[in-house]
Amino acid sequence: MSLQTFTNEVLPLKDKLYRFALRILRDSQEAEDVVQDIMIKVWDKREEWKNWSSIEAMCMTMTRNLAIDRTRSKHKRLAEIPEGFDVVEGSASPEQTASSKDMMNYIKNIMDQLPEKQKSILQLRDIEGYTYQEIADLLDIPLSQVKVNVHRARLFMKKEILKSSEYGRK
Amino acid sequence: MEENKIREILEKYWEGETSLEEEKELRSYFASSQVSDEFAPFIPLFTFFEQEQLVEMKSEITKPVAEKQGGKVINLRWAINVAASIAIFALMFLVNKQLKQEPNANQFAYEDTYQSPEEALKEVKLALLYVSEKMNKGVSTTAHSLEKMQPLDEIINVPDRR
Repeated sequence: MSLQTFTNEVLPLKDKLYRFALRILRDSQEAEDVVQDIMIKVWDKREEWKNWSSIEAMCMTMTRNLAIDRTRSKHKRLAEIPEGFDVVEGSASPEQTASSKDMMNYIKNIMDQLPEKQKSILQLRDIEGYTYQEIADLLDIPLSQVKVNVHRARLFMKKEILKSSEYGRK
Repeated sequence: MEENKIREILEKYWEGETSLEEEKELRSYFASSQVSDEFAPFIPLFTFFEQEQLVEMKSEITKPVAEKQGGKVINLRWAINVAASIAIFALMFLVNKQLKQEPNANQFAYEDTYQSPEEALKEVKLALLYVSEKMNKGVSTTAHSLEKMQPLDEIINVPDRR
């Protein structure tokens, strides 16, 4: 019964989908809109569910595509003015920042600077805990691409963190 | 000894060679209070990953399954927005009409009210501000009430016809 499948398998994904959309869009209202739209889209496609190898993977893929679409079409401004961009680059090192909220913003801002693909992959791996193979299927790219992008994204994070922690010591 | 192990896993981590298990290990190490100074700069990174897993969507899903018999799903928020826009247009129309009529229809009242156009404009702005404030209040109250009605909606829309 499709309603049951929807309630048991699709609805519980909402937070995961939301986090993914939020990572790409950087705006909570926009991200919520995307998730609501995806829920409707997935429900409308209920005839096709049996052909999907994984409902979760399909939902994630659809969420990403829609989120990217939204950044491109009407909200180019998001690319320039990230939400909560209140930590000036290089000014706040982890040692300096007092509150944990600042620390979180500091990492978030570094992550925001990554290209979309690397950002998405890092989100899926380090936050959602997907395997490389799952990520490859989800983004429809070769496994080797996933590995290269994970490596690049993490190196960038490392480099930026070390850079600002050195500023902090001076 | 633990530090050596962490250093090793961390190196693998930057390379993208760690397993999910090892990544979990890193997160729990960085969540502990005994992180060596050597790795201290990376505490926020792993704390961030840990915390981001807990981020939740604030609003509920306005269930697409409420869509029965192939009807359309109406997003409540849109409905409110549309209603508010119509109200604003209606108001603008009325105000406009009123302003146009005033000089002819009610000459004396017009002359008596204000000394200068600036003063009048100020007053009109204040009035409009007042109206828009009230209207926003109305919109948020409606949204709130609709949210409260959600459970009711769920009860009504339970059966799946398929």
